[in-house]
Amino acid sequence: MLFAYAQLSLRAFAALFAPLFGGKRWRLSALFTQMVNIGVASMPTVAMANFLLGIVLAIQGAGQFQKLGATDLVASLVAFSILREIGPLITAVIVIGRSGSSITAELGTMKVAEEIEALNVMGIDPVKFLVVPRLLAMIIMMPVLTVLGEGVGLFAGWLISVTSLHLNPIFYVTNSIAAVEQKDLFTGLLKALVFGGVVGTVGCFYGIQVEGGAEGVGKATTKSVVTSLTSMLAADALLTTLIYFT
Amino acid sequence: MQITERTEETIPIISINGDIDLENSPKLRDFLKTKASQKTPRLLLDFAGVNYIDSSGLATLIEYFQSVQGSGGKLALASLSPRVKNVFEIVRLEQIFSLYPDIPAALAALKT
Amino acid sequence: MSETNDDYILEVRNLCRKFGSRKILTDVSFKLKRGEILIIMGGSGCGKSTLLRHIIGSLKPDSGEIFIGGQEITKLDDRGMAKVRKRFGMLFQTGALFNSLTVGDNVALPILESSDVSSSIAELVVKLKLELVGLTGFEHLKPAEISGGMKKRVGLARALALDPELLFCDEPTAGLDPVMTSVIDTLTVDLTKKLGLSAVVVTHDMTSAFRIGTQMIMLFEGRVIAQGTPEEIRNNPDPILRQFINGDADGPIPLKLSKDDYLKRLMQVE
Repeated sequence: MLFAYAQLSLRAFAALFAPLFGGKRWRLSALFTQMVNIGVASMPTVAMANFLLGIVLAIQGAGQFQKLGATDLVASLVAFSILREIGPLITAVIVIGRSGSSITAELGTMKVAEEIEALNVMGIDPVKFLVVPRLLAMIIMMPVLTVLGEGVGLFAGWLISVTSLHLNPIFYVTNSIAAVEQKDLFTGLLKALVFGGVVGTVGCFYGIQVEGGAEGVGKATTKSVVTSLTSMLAADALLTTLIYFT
Repeated sequence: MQITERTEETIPIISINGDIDLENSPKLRDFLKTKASQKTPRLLLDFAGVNYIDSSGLATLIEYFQSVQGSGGKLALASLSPRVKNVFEIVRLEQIFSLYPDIPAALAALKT
Repeated sequence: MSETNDDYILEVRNLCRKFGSRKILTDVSFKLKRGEILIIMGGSGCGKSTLLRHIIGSLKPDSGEIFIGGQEITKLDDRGMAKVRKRFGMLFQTGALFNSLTVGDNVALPILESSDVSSSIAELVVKLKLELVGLTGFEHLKPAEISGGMKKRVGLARALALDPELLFCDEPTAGLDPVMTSVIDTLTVDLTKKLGLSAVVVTHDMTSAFRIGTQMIMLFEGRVIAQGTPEEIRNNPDPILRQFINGDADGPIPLKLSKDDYLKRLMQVE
């Protein structure tokens, strides 16, 4: 199982980078379709999730900091956690639920309908034809969505702090900027990039593996979501540790 | 596939040698495109050296036919082997293209 | 490959395949000459679909050899197989069209993917192929918008897109009305007679089988039990074959459970 997954991922990444080394170029129209499916369609949900978490972070932070008489620190707490952790994480969760699952379901349905076998018989590599556009779209769109989500989350934190916690709007912004480093932003984006790769390969892998009709598609989709979530969290822990020690 | 050209009684005769398949049909297409852009009024394609033509070859001829139709250009095909002729017939293209058994017959038809 | 004659487009030698302990194919051998139509008959679960999947390279046998146009394919890697596959077309049971693409794009796909021809040429080829299967003017519809029989005909147009030497059909006429069945049959015969196409047709539609077949084999429990021209098959006294061709309910072909077994199990207390 793990071996088959590694094999597919390697083939997919090899095919993905092949155009850079003079291979056949990407199918841009397919890539564009997938970017719209995966990315643009997820934008409202990603924005809403990050907005809500921005509010939660600010209010919970305020509750703790008030005891210390340091409500001003809310700004740095929100900025730091959203950029480093919450933004990439919650965005990935939404994308897994919305797009990772739909990739598995779509490829699984194609498998069941003999469409993937048909590609093989026509001498067309399903990895190049189906997996690469989806994986590439995932890798491109995950950071884009993350940046969007982080922006909305930061705005939500600011909004609730200014309106309900009576913090100075200008001070809040300068505090936020002072609290974060460039490294925080890049850490978040690096995580998003890796999450994109994980979710894309796992989603495609379970889709292509499907056997046993409509029931098989359902089962594979569930497995795909669960595996994506756990692998994404594992990757998160690994990256956080690595970055902490470097 | 090789394409050679000669002129007989002001009519260009294009001899094709080899298979017109997916690999070669783009070459024929480029050749016919130049002919079409030069507004060649009459054209004779000699198929004596063609053993095989596939659908992309047919499509190439159809495209040329479409492009010269407006300017009243004429196209004649000569000396098709029975097998090649079958390829035309199975999609009923013998009703559109003028197929002749040999070059003199095709020349005579083009001159009228 | 000493004796593989160039006259034969397809040859299967001693093909064996087990799934677990279940023998699906046992020592299957046959040859197909260029320009002929081979019918593979047999009841559900007799192994005919599995046989077809071995021939198109989707499954690998436990032992035995398969030659397509003189080339042995059971040991080929993906790249070698992709090359052989350009020489044949396959019509799947349900058509296996890509739902996200229009009918026209489905037919154009193998052309655009395997060559450098321009899209305007591919478009013309699509028109030629759709006319062959009687679907002129349906280019812009999505597979979801057409009937099952039409999907199958689009599948056939796609299988013919690259002018294959060898065509595989899995139940080509199942689900088609009698008129369309006849149209597809006539087309298959026309293509073999006029263009030298060879075809392997898996079917249990006996009318259609005897109408188009020039060679027939009957599979039963994974073995070839009869082989020959339609005339020979018609005159073959084998009781299993007779029952299958005549479509009799009674005969040597076993149902899943015998009647006694069924009653015994029905009354059994677990």
